[in-house]
Amino acid sequence: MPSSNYSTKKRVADRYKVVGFISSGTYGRVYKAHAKQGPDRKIYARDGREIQAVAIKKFKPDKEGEVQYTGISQSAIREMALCTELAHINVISLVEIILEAKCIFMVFEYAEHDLLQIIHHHAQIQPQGSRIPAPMVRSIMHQLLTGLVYLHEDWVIHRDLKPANIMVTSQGSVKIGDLGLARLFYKPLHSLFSGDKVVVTIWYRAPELLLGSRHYTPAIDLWAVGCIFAELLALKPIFKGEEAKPEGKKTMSTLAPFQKNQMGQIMLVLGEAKRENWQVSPLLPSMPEYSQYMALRNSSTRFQTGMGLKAWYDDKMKLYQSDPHGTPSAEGFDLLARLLEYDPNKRLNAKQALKHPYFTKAAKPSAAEVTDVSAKLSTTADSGGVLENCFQGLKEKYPSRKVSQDDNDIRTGSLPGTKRGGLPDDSFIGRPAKRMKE
Amino acid sequence: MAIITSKASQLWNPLATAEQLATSRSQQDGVPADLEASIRFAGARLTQAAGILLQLPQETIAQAIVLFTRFWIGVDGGSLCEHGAWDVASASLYMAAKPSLARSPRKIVNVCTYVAQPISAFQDLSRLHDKKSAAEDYYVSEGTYESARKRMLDAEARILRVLGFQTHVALPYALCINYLQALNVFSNPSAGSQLTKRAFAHLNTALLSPQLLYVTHQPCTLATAAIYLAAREVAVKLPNEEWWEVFDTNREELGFLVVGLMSMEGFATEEKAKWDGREIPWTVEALEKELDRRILAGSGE
Repeated sequence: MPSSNYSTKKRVADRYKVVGFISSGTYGRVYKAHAKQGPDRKIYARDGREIQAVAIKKFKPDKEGEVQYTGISQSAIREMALCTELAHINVISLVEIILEAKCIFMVFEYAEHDLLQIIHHHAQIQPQGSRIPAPMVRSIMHQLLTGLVYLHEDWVIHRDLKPANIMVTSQGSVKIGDLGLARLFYKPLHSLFSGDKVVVTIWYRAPELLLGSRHYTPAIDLWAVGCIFAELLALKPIFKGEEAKPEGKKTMSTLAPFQKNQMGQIMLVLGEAKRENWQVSPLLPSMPEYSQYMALRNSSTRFQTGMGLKAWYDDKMKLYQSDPHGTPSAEGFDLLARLLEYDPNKRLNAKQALKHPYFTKAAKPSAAEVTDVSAKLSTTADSGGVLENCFQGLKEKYPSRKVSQDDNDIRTGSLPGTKRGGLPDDSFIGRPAKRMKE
Repeated sequence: MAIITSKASQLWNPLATAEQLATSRSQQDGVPADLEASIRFAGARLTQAAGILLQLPQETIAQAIVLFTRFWIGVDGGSLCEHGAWDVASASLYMAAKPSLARSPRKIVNVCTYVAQPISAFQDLSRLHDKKSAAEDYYVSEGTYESARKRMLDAEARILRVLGFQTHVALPYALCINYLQALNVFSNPSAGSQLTKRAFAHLNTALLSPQLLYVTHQPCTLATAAIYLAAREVAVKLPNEEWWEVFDTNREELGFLVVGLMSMEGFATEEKAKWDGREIPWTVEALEKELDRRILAGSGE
């Protein structure tokens, strides 16, 4: 319902001091900022927590054929509709939305780290790379799944889970970010394929998507979580395929090609997806890309047998042998295997994953491990010894996310084709005088 | 039976408060309540008709109508003295379609302009498919398009501001199917199909209600009332017990909604008679003229 009069205009520059540029994408750019000084300038998350810094996501206005302004960005409309409805400790919090000079600015809480950066940090430590401590991996996974339970219970599929989209605050709180591709899924028989042909970054894309399924489910997010779990253990993507691009001029109607290389990478580890193991509708042979898949399967026996997930896991566990924090254990393998299940109906859902022995049987951290008196264990029922702060007890300090000072001009004029100044959606000039009842 | 509830926000809507329903910005600006109701009704019909001609799914059209309706509510809402109903209706449709079924501004402007003509303002919505080719051939001039496009895109930004950027709309259609399944009406496929069509027709009608049913009641109660009324009309027997309570609806709410849905036919007939041969004031200028006409006719006192 209309809650605030549109005459109270908010401008980004009046409220925030931009300290640097974080990243850019097809939608626009992301900047880091702080609230400007002043008595009423504190920033609060939707759950009431005070926030020190924000990430401002600036959406480019939509253009028709890159010429004519066609209104508020499509991706902004999508993300706004979802983010205004969501509030959870493990989902990045939307602070406010500002519309200024045809641009939408979505202001989110800022997180100092993301999983990709944490993985890279560990991978770069020589000679073999240093493992992410097992209790930290467990905490990250627990928080990630807790956030995912919330999204799925709220009928939201994220559709683009990957390490770069999982934020971690300096307090060790894990937050799911970037809902730019997220979708609702409660409408019966409503194909989620219609709006956009391809979802999920290829390395984290579930086999049912690779096989062309149109009526996919929240299980695609759980496959991505399995891939993230594997990456936290191995410090590199488990299924690192090369993306096949559509031939010719790319348009919305261009059908995405079969991602043969990516499917091959999965099969090299897991072996083939056997028909008898895929017992739900749609059955494996009825998948749109089944013939392509069979051609790939028949091209090499390596694709039929695979090295086996157990062999892959055991190989990675060798690097954990000397770790004082212990290993992710046999339960870790079982959870991974149940997340990387070919059949989406057999794959664990987020709620089931949280109840897995990997979390419930986790040993409480020893006094030596927990150096901080205020160390808190997760308050979730059955979470065993899972830490609420994933950095708890770590001597290591992770570098903060890279923020560039070179390009921190958030002004609306910094986008091509966007004029600055008082545009019609920016201010109310010459409001007609009210006509009083006669 | 156990109560079926869901705290998932995606299935719930922010509802208008009693204070917001008491008066509107338009009324504060001197627009009589009956005229405001007429324009809202016509705007919702325009959105529905244009959506059909643009071959948008009913859920997208319904979302657009709810956004259009929300925009005018309360003293913090938009005023008809500042924003033309055509601009807001076309912008609502454009915005609702944007996330997954985007239509070009040109298409939206062409079709909404076609539907706003006096000749089509009160035509039978169920027969719109016959007009499809006429609508497709209808093409506004470049100058008209540029002006309409600008107004529509300005209105899009206004709607977002006024609604506090909350564009999510929970709708009752999916719930209606789930409830009908729970009530086991599909054991007789023919009766089940008939009942479903009738219930959906009531849900579509409720979008046009002057009582603003979609912003005063949650989707679960709308779905329940539509099923209750449809079952009475097509003589399908539902459980003897108070089955509606299972779907989060009490008897009082159910009664109010059923009466509201049943009154729609009379309201629509009155509106058709009231505006027969006259043009709906789609723009701020046309509204000014209508208000002046009423004053001269002595009905503005």
